[in-house]
Amino acid sequence: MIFKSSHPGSPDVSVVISGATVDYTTISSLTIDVHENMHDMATITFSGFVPVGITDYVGAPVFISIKVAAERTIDFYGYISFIEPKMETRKGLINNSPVQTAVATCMGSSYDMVYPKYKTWENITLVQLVSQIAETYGYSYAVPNDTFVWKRLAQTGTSDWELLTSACKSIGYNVTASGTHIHVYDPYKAVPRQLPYVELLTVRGAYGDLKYAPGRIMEFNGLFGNTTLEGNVYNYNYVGIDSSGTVVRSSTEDADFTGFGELAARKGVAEVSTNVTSLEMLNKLSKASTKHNYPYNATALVTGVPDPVPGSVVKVDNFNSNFDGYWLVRGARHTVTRSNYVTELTIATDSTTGKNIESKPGAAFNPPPPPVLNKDNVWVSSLDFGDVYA
Amino acid sequence: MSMLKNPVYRAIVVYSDTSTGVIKVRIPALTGADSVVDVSYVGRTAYNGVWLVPSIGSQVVVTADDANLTNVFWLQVSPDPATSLTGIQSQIDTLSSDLSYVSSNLATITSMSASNRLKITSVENTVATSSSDITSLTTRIAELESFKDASFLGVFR
Repeated sequence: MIFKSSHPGSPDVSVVISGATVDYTTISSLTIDVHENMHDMATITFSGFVPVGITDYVGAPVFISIKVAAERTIDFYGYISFIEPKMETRKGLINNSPVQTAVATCMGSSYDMVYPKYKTWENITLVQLVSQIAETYGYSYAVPNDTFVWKRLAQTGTSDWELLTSACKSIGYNVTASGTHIHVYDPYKAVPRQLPYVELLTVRGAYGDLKYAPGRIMEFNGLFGNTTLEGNVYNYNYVGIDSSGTVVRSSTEDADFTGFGELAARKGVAEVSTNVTSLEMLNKLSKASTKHNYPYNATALVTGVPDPVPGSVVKVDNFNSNFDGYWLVRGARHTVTRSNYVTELTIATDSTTGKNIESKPGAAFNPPPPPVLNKDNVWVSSLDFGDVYA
Repeated sequence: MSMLKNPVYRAIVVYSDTSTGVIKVRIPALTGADSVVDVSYVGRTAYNGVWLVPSIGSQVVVTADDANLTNVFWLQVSPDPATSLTGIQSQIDTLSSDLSYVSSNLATITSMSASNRLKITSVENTVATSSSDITSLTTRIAELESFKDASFLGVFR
């Protein structure tokens, strides 16, 4: 534990840098960033950095944990990717070091998967793709039992990570790789997946109770509308030619959405022409097209709450508005200093509070085994674990 | 679905079959040294049951309809006579064999026909001789008939 104040809301924070001498008292702040379809990331800021660490730390395995209560924790497993030391002679020594500050940027263990490769994957399903990649790196995995078969996936100078995320996104799934666990999930089935759920309370939602509690909204910055930073929100008409030379068509449907409430109307119909092997593939592409772009987007800065992960559902309560209700977590950035712990959540929804949340069939998340360091100082799963869920 | 960065790539043929048309290639500049992909049948056809395929180990030019190489196409600007000769030569050999068999039969039949013609002539001669004999006999019978009538009438008494 490196920081712990007398405040009851102060989190327990642990940092372990393996195989390197560390003066943990010099750590002044740290962040953990988790986001859908991205590697986990963390930064550690040192005040008065041991100079030998500038080179010794690069590549060192790192474990960081932020915990506010039993079972309420966010853990980071990765490696120090690079260090940015800052040395200004006029500022003298800090903690007896001429390196006044240094920021160590750490990439999650999934960064093992970033090396470019050239190969093709023939007649492969999502389960086969994920399990084979997981096996390569000694990871555990959880993947929907989707029977769709790609006739071919080409990996042309792209990494296993890039292949995995682009393949999953193309058929409507998101990916996270926290610790050594690859989790593939359908954002439209976030409710039955039952990843950690929290309620984010506004001042109104807390009924004037100003006592500290995790998940209280401090700032809320929204972007509402069909024009978003990730492009416009449309319905789609897809047309393609299958392997037999038949022209095939598919369209998105208003029944296909998160089901968090009443669908916010999608304006206009975009046409997409593409190459497919079958009508089934075109249907997959079509249904996936609305899953990565939502009309209501926001970043909510809340008092530190470690639970939400990409794929979680949070409830915004309440602004006394049509956007109160359930939102999908797309990312979370935790920042801990010696004086505060805040979480910035990137959330999105396609629904207003017009009707009750829709229950869709699906399977709940099974906690994976924790990572361990193997003899080569590489994070791997402590157990073989593969969850192919409905 | 994204498109290829470059429109065409050189590939090395690792398998080809003139009877099925299967062509498998490696595209080292695109998919590394080990991956093998099938070449699409789109735009190709068999001639008299024989597919025009490149020989194993040769270099060909290919392209694909998307970045996943869903369909890989062999870009064949014009037929390569050296490549296509194998199939055609095989057909020529078969036809030559058939032709010599037919020629042999024809000679036999011609020979038999000539022999039969001689026999027909001989039979025709025999028939002509027989017809002449029949005529003589008919004449003699008529004479004998007249002798018999004269005898009854007592001409010779």
